[in-house]
Amino acid sequence: MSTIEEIKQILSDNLQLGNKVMSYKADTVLLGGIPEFDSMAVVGVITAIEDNFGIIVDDDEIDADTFQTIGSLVEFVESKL
Amino acid sequence: MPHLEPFFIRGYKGYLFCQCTHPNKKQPNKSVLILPPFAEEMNKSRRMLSQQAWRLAEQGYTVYMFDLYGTGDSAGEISDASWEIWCGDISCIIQKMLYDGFISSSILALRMGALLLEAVFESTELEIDRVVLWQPTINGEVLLHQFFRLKLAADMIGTAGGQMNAKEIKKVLASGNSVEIAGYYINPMIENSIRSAKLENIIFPQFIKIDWFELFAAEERSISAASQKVIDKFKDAGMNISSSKIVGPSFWSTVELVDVPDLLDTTTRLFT
Repeated sequence: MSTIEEIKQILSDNLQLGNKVMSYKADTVLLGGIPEFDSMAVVGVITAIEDNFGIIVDDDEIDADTFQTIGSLVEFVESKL
Repeated sequence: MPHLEPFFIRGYKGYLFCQCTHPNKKQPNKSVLILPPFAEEMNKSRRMLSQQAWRLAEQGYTVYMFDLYGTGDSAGEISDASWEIWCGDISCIIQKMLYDGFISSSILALRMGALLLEAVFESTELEIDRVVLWQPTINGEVLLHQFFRLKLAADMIGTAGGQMNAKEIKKVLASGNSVEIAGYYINPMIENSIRSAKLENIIFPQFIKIDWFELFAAEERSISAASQKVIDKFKDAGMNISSSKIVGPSFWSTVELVDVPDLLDTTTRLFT
């Protein structure tokens, strides 16, 4: 599974988006674009990313830019691998 | 068919809400005690744990699930809770199980519940034969870090005032004040206890069987290095431990309630 596919799976799992994520692309807007993406969801997604990829996300790295789009989130995760 | 019995018992500091799932035919030596996760995670997990309790009751087990002091439907406020109270609550539940005629039990612990095993093993009256761990918290500090992020994330999205990261939250707690996170008032005492709790420091009884489950979004992922270290340590200590991964969502933190049938099936099979 590529990073973007795995991130989409994590989003689908955490936000119960089901098959909707199939149509998501790198430029799909997360913050402000997906109504389910609230603070609980952000934390769930970060934790799932840490557990899945075995990386640690620093608090300073959690900002709105990282969660702007799927692409920005993928870029962030890949920079940590 | 199993049946549910909700009741309150006197806990360490206040009344505890318990939910007992009884099998059709009670077998006096078969019981399971569920150790709950932390704060909001229990809210999200109640459905999965109830389903598991029901499935185990179908196998003839009496399953005890309860809310810790200051959480769920138990008495008190989490702002007044402490690790000592929670461990005391577990002793009270164990006393109830002994009173009900059980001399041995298995444990199902989810997330922070694994760290509460410390209190279970302190009781020498109830013999524990098997421990099932669902995504156990191996380090209380990591659990708190994840929890504190709720505040950071809320600030980022702009649903809450002020900017507070984990460092700043820790500073407030260190000065002796409580912090409100996602509606939970965390006091410095409990923060300190959870922070210092480590799964690897818990002394498990000899010959106990441990089944460790972790959930992943994708098949190709493997158990984290941090978890593997603890598993290896337990193995080296001669413990009978096996670890497995299940593909499914982190049901204790998802936005909507979600089931992980694979985890329920696999866990049920351990008890058949």
